[in-house]
Amino acid sequence: MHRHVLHLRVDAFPVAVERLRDSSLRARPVVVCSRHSPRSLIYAASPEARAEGVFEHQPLTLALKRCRRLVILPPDAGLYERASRAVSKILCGYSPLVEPGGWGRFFVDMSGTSRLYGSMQDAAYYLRKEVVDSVRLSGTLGMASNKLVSSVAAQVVVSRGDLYAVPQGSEASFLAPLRVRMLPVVQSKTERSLLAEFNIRTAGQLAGISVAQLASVFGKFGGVLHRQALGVDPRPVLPPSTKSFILEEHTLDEDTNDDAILLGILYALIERACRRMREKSAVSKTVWLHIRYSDGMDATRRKRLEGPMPVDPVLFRILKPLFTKTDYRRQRIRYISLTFTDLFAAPDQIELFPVAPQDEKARNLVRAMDAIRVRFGETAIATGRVMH
Amino acid sequence: MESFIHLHTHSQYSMMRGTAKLETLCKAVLNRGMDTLTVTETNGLYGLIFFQQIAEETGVRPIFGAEISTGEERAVLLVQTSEGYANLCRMLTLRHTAEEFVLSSELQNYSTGLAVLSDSRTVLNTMKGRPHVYAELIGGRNWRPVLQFARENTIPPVATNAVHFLDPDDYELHQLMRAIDLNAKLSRLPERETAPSSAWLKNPSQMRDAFPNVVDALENTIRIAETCQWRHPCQSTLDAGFEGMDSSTVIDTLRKKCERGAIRRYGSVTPEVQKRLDHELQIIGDKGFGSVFLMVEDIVRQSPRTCGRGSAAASIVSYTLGITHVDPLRHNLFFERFLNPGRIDPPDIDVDFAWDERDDILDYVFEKYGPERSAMVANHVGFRLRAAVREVAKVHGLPENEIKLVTDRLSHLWSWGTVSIEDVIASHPLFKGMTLNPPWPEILRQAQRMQGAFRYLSVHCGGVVIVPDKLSNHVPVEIAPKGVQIVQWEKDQTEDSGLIKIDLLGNRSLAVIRDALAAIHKNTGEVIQYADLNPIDDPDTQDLICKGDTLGVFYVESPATRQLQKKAGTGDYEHLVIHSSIIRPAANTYINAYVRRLRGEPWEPLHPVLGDILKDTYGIMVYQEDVTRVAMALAGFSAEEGDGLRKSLSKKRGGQKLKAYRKRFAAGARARGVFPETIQNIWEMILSFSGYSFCKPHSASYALVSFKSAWLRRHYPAEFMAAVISNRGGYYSTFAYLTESRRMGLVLLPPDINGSREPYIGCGQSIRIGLMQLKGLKASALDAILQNRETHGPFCSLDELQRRIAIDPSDLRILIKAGCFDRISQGKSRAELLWQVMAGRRPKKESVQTSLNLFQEEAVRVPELGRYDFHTLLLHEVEVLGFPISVHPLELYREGLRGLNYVPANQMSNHIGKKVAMIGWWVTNKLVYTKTEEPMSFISFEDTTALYETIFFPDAFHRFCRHWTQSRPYILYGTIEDDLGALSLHVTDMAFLDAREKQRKKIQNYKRIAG
Repeated sequence: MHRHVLHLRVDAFPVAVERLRDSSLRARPVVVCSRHSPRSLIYAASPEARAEGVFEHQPLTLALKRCRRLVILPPDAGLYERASRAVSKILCGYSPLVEPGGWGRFFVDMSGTSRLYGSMQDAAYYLRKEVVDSVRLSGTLGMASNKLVSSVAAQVVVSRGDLYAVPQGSEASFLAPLRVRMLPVVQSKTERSLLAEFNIRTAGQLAGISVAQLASVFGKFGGVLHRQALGVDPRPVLPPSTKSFILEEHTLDEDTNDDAILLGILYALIERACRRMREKSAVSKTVWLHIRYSDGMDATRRKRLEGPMPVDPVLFRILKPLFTKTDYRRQRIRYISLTFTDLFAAPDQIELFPVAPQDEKARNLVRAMDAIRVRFGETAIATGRVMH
Repeated sequence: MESFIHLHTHSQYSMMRGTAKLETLCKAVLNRGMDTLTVTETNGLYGLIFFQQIAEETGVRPIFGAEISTGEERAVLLVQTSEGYANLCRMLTLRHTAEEFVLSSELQNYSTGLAVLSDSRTVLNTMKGRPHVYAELIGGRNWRPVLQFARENTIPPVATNAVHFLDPDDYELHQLMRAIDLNAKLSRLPERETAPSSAWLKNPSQMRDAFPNVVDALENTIRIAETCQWRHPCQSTLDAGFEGMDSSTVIDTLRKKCERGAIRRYGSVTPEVQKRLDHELQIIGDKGFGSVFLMVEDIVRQSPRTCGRGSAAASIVSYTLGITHVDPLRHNLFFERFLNPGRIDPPDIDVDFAWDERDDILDYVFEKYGPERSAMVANHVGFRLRAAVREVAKVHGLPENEIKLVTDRLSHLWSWGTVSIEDVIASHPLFKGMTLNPPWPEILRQAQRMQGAFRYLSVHCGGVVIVPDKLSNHVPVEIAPKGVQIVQWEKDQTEDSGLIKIDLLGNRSLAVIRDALAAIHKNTGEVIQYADLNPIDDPDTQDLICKGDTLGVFYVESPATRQLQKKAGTGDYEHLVIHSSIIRPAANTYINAYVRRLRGEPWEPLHPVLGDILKDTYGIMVYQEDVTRVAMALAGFSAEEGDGLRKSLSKKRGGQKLKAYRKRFAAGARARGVFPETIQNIWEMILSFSGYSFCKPHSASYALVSFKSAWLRRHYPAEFMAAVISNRGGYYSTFAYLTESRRMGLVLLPPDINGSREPYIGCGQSIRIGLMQLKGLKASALDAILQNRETHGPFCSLDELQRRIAIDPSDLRILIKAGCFDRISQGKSRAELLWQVMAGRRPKKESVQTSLNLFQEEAVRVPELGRYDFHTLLLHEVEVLGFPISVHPLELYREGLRGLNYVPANQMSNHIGKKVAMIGWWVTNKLVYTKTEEPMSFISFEDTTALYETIFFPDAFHRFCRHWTQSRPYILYGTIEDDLGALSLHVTDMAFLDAREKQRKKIQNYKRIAG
C-alpha cells in the first residue's frame, strides 16, 4: 500500500500567530524575543526581518543594529500552543495520525484515505483551505510517501500556499539536485564539512555512492545517509498522546552563572513537573537534567530515582548535587530542562515504612501549596528560592 | 606613640590575592596614622627591593617578611637579621622546589633571625618555648580558639588583620582575583580560599575595636616591630669569581686572552691597541669585574655566531675576546660609555645568540655553575587590560565569541592608563556605535582595576644570575613551568639588589644568516664564514639599504625605518648606525629635523657647548650616552649623575627620580647661563629617550648584522627569504614575505611530499614551501615522513606512504589538502585521496583473503568524486597554510576592478600630489596618538606590484577604523604625498573591492532582468 504523508509548514509560526492578533504587524520586520534583557536571543523572525539579516538565535542587540525598525514581541508560549492545537484539531479531521513536529510543523499521514477524498492533491487543498479559513494561518505543503521527503518538499515550495507533491517512486530524483544540507541527517557541522571535502554537494551525488562505500567512511551512519539521499524514511507519523515523558524546561531571558538563580529555576522545574505527575498519578524512575550554556554547548546527566516518588524539597536535595556536577563550567546558562521518563501509574500510597518527620512536613507543605494553586491560580504562592 | 602596627600585609605582589599597589599601601599607612608597613607576600619576596625603594621615597619604616602557606600550615615570618633573611630565602626556595615541604619541620632548622607568627597548631606546638614565636589572631576569622590555645601554652598572642586590600570596597576585586586564580565562578568560591571581608588596612583604633580585651596582642605588634630593623644591603657588588681563580690571576688570564685576541683581530698589537687595552684592563681590575668578562667569554665561545649588544661593544677587551664584533678604534667607540671609575653598579654585558641555539647555551651555563649558583631572571607578568577584560568576563560566564568582540577592539588600548574605560569607549572612534549592555560596563570597570595585577612569574628571555656561593642565600628561587630555575625578581630588582646578571638573548636573524649561509653552501658549494662576512663596503648592499628595500633584513625592515632610509638616501654603515638608534617611539619630531639637516639644511647646535658632542649626528641627540654627555656639559652633572639620569629614563619606575633630575638639570644649566627656553628644548629632547633607546656601541653592533643580512638579500634572495620565513618572528607575516618574494622575481612552489622539508627551501630563483607551514600537522608525523624519506627514498603514492609509515588520518588530510600528493596522485583527485584515507581509517576485516566477498571489495573501491573547483582549492589553501598561494587575493576580484581607474603601487611616483585610487591588501598597522591625543594610523598595504604606506589621519581614522579587517581587499582613495622622498597615500576615503563586485553584479542582474 502506498503511504501518503502530508507536511504543513507555517514559516516563523510565532510571528504568524502574533500577526493574527495584530494585523498591523503584517509586512513589517517582526521578531519574537524577550525584551527583558539585551542579551536575549531571537526566538522567531519574520521573512521581512530575515531579509534585513535578522535570524533566529541571534542576540537582540545585533538584530537591532541590523534593523532599526524591528518590531519586538515578547514570546507568549501559551498562545502558540493554543494555535498549534487548533491547527492539529483541524488536521485530525482528515486523519487520526497527526504529529506536530515543533512550532508550525505538522505531519499528517493520509495513507488509505483516497476512498474518502479522491485525489490526495484535492485533499491537501481542502485541508489548507480549512486551516486558512478557520485559523487564518497559511503555510506551505509538501506531499510525499514519507516524512523526510514531504518536509523537504514543503521547504522547496517557493510561494506560500503552494503544494509540492512528490510522486511515489520519484523521491530520489526529486532530491537529487538539492544540496546535501537539505537532508535532515546532514545537520551537524562535521558531516557537512566532511561531505564538502569529498566534493559531494548534492543529494544525487551522495545517492550515487553505494552503502558499502559510505559505510567504509561513515560507519553505521553511512546507511542513514544513503537512505535519506534516496528519499527513504520508514519513520511512522506518531500522534503526541503516545509519547510518555514529562518535560519541564526554562529558557532564561538573561543568561547567568549565578548558582542562586539557577538553583531557583531548578526548584521551579521540579515543582511544575512533580505537580503534573501528581495530577496524572504517575511516578518516574529516571530523571534527566539537561542544560545548555550560552556558547551553545550542552550537558546532560541522568539520575535513577529509588523507592516512592520523593516530594519536591526532597527531590531538590537529590538533584542539587546532580546540577553541580552537570554545570561544571563557569559559562553562563541559557536553558535548563528536566525530563522525567520511565513513567508508570503510582501504586496507592500505603506507607509500609514510617516517613521521616521532615519529609512528612515537606509533603504537607506541598499538598497545601497544590491546594492553594488550584484555588487561586499558579502564581498565588511560591517558595522563596524561585523568586529571583 | 603608636598602639598597633600591621605585621601581615599583602600587596599586589601576592599573586592573585592582594589588590593594593605598594605605593598606595605606603601612602595609606601614613594617611591612617601609622608610620610602619610590613609587607608579607604569599610564598615569596616578589616585590622586596621595590618595597624598600618606595618606603625610602615615602618615608615609611619598612618591615620585610613573607607568609608561607602550604594548605595545611601557614605562618608569617618577619626578618630580624641578615641571617634571618637568608633563612627566609632558603625556606621559600624549598617551598617552591622541594618535593615535600612541611613548614613546621623546616622552621625548626631555619627560624633563627625570624619572628614567627602563626595560627597553625602544628607550627605553634613545634615552635613553642622558642623566642620570637607568636600566636597570630587574624581579625575577621575565628581567633578566640587560637587565643585560648595560646594562653594554655603560654605563647604570646599577636593581632593582625591579614590585610589583602586597601578599603572595604576592594573586597569585590579580591574575590574576583581568587575566582580567576581558582578557575571558579563567584557563586562557587570556597570560603577558605578568600580573605575575610574585613581584611582591609584598618587604622589602629579600628584594630583596637576588632580586638576587645586582648590588649597584649595589640601591644605585641609594637614589640615585634622593634626587633625587625633589617634592611636589604642593595648595591653591594658580588664578584662571582671564575673557576676558582683569585682576583690577580683573573686579570692576568684576561690580559693573556686579550693579547691573543688582539693579534687575531688586528694582526699585531700596535701601541694604540696596547694603550687602550692597558687602560681598560686597569679599570676592569680596579672594579673587580674581570671574572665577569671571563665568564661571558667562556659562554660566547660556545657558538660561532653571536652579536654583543649594549655598551659592551665600546670595549676593546670585549672585541679582542670575541664578545663583540665591531672595532671600537675604527668606529670611535669610547670605553667610558661602558665603564668608568665613578660607576659602582656592575656593567651590562649582553650577548645575542641564534634563537634556536640559545637553550643549549643556557644548558651549558647551568651545567657549569650548577643549580645552586645560577638561575634565570624572572618576568613579572601582570594583567594587561585585554587579558583582564577576558578573565573577568570569563568569571561572569560570558561566551567566548562575545568576549572576543570586545577584546578585539581593545587590542590597541592596552596602555590606556588612568582614563576610565567607559569614557574611552564613549569617546574613542574604535568603539563608535558600540553600545555596552550589562554586564559589560561592570566587567570593564572591574577589569580596569585589575590592570597591572601580578599574575604569574615567567622566564625572562635571557637574563642569567650567577653568584659565588648559594643563590638561595640571596633571593628565593622557583622552578618555572618550563623547568628552568628562576629567581623571584624581574630584571630591575635583580639589578638593584646588586646581583650579577648576564643577558643571553635569542636573536632570529643570527639563525637566518646561519641558515642562508648553509643553503648557499648546499646549493653552490661556496663556503662563507659568519665571522668573515663583512660587507659594509659592498656597493650593491649599500644601494639596497639606501632604497629601503629591506623586508626581512635584520633591524631595518619596519615601515618606519624603511621610510627613513628612503628619506635619508644613504646606505653607508655610519648612517645606518645613526638610523637604527634614532628610530625610537618618542623621537618622531627629531627624525625629520635630522633628515633635513642630512640633506644639507644649515643648522646651529642647541647650545655652543654641545657643538662638539653632537657633531656626528647633526646636532641631534641620537644615542643614550648623549643624554649623559649633554647633562654633564650643560648642567654640570657628574658622570654618575648623568648615568643615573640615563637609567631613570629607561626604567618603569623612574618617574619620581626623574623629577629630581629635571630640577637639578634646570638649576645646573641656569647656573651656566643657559636660557630657560633652551633648557626646556633640550629637556624635551632628553625625554624622547624614555622607554626604548640605544647606545652607539649597541647600534654599531646591530648595524653590522643588518649589513650581513642585507648582503644576503641582495646576492642570494631565495636562500635568504626562505631562511627569514623558516625562522619566523620577523616584523611581517609569512604571507607578506611570500608576496615580497614574488615581487623579487622568485617562484613560489607548493608543498610537496617528496620535495619539501620542514623549513622553506630557497634555491636559485624558487622557494619551496616547507611542511612547517601546514597548520595542525603533528610534529611526530612530520618527523616520521622526513626520516622515512631520508632512509628509503621518495614516496611514489599515497598507498605506498601508508604502507611505509603509520600516520594519523588527520595528518594525511592536511597533507592532501595542501596538495602534497598532487605529483604522485596516480590520477586520483584530492577528494578521492581523502576518501581513501578516511575509508582506510576503519579496521578492515581480513579483506584480502576473503576477496570473494563482493561487498568487501566494493567497500575498498573509491567512488569517483571529481576535482575541486577553484574556489574550494583556495579555501583549502587558506585552511591548511593560512593564506592562498595560487593567486594573490587581490587577483580574485577582476569584476570589482573593472571600470576602476587605480594606480599600481610601483607607479606612485608618477602621481605625486594627485588624488588617486589604489587597491590594497592589509600588511601591518601602527597606531599612534597626535599631540592632542587623537588616534591616527600608519598602515602598510600591498598590491601585486609593491608594498606601500598609507596614513589615516585622525579624521579618516575616525571614519574607518571600525571597518578595518586584515582579510578583505581594499580600495583606498586619497592623495599621494612625497615626504622628503618617502611616498605615502594620505587616505580620505576607502571601500572594499568585494562589496563593489557584489554591487556590480546586482546591477548587471538588474539590467538583464529589466532589459
